[in-house]
Amino acid sequence: MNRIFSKDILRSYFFLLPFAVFIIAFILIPVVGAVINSLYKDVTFREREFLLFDNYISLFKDSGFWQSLRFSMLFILVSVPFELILGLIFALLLNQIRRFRGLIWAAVLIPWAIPSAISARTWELIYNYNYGLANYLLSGIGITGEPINWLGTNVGAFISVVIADAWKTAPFITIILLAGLQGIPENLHRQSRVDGANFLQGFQKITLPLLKPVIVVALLFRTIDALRVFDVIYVLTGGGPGGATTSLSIFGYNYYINGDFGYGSTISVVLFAVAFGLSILYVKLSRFEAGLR
Amino acid sequence: MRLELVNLSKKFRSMRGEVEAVKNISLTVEEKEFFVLLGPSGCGKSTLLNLVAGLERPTSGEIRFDSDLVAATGRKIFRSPKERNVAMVFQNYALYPHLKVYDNIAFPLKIEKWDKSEIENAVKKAADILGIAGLLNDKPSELSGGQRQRVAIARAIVREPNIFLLDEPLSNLDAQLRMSMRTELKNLQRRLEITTLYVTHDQTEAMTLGDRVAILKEGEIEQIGTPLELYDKPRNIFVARFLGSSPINIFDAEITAEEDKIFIRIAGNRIELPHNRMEEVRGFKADKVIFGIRPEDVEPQSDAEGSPVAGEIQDIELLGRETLLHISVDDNTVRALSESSKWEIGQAVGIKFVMEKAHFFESE
Repeated sequence: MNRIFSKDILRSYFFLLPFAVFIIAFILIPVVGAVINSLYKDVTFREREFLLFDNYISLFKDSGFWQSLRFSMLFILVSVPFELILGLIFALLLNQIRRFRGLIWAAVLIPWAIPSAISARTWELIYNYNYGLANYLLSGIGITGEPINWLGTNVGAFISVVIADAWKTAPFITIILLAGLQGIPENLHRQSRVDGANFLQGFQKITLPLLKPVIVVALLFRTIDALRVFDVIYVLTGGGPGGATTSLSIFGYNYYINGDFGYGSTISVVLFAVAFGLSILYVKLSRFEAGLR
Repeated sequence: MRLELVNLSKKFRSMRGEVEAVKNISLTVEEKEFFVLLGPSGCGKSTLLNLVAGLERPTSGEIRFDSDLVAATGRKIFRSPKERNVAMVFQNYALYPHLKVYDNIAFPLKIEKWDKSEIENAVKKAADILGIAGLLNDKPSELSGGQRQRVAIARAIVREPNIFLLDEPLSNLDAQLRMSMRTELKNLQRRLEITTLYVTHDQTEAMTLGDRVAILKEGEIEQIGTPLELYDKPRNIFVARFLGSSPINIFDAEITAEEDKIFIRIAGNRIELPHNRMEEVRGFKADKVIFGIRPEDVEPQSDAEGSPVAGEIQDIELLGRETLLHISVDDNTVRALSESSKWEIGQAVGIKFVMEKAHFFESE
């Protein structure tokens, strides 16, 4: 009896093995490596030197770090709610569609499927000061007399990056929320109408509370993604102007390509710690929600 | 509140084409009446209920609550469920899973912005009536099926609706609970005196609950009447087959007239028709008819020789006080209810049809 039991356990470990190897090779080793690296002065062509926490001390004194941390936090605070609201609106609209549902759902997912580098290039063309579509449309309607310098000013660059990111990721939220909406039984909506609720009351008192757990999951994914944002910004602004749109990822990347692996690793470890903390916070939050149901 | 449906139709358009779920239905539910819509699944009974609730717009026709038009396609009138003040109970109860029982029952009142103390009184009253006062702080997921059912009904009665709409409310309950809830529902309706429209596919529920019953088939009304009228005088085979806990016997038969007598031939046997049934059969256009007789109107005789029809017992079902016999006669099987249980499989028996209770339908 006991032998069969232990045999079963062995078997289950065996089945878990491929995934465990994947996690160890591509997640655990790099993370541990980065932590170790962050304790050294490790610059190409120079001798490796153990510093203990000196990298961290210099990082916290580095104004560039604080600037990119501030940008990353602001980016999360603006882009995630913006994407959530957009995604929610699309999900509610799509949920009403009965015909050609599969086709429309697929169409919605296209921005999510296009590689970021390509969509960012497209947005770069749209934002172009001289011949971009954005300025053409705005001046065409007559909203602005002067063309807007989208990518060349701090505020412009921030808005540009947020819009480009939202265009790409709102569909992801849409699909997650749509799945959540589909999970709410149709009879509950009918019941709330019979109970006298109009559309807004039904949404506020029935749909939204039932959608909450799904919203938490979407928020978790998007917040961590937004914290790590790299490709869209790298292509659109390269982190500029003057470091105004340098996210933590880009900040760290700049050190890596200049051969400063120790300092780059230090930034990565801090980034990892923040992401990890956010994950735990959200997981706790979603458990709390589950307890409420 | 009196409910009147006039030439009501509902068509659904889907990618597969147009489906007419409700076809030109007219009926009246009198004030305080318990009216049952009975039919097999897909007969349009739930659609009809949704039309009355205001959850669906009719394709054509009118709906009146007393003298008020709540839906009239010609005059472009369509009142929302809220304006109609109807209450509804769905088959799966449709309780709001994130709200406590108290808040579920209070929901329609909160929407109507009642005072807090008024809401509390109304909820307590409804909960008392249904015996769920102890569950007010529970979540629906913590309740049993029967309890959920009670919460759904409490939510429906809490604001004194004009009309009470029930869509197969008992079909998710187990057999015993279904029976006790049936009685309770009937008593509740009598006590509250709310006009009730009740949808079911279960003929027992329809027979026991309904003051009147409408039998629906493919979006049309086959017959409306009291349960007894429908049982004793079904207008067609569909109605006859639908009612009765042991299904009615149906046979092809032929009418022959000899002098001043009328005989009916069933499976090679000739039976004389009593005088009081002659007129009815004479009106038929063809000689071929469909003969229907309920199992309780078939009397098995232990002496096979002296009976007009002879057969052999194939199967015996004990139902308690009564016994249902399956008797083979030539190639047919006749179901007969007997109060005696002294029967054996393989026994040769005679069969006597109580012709006064037989049903004749024109064959198509």
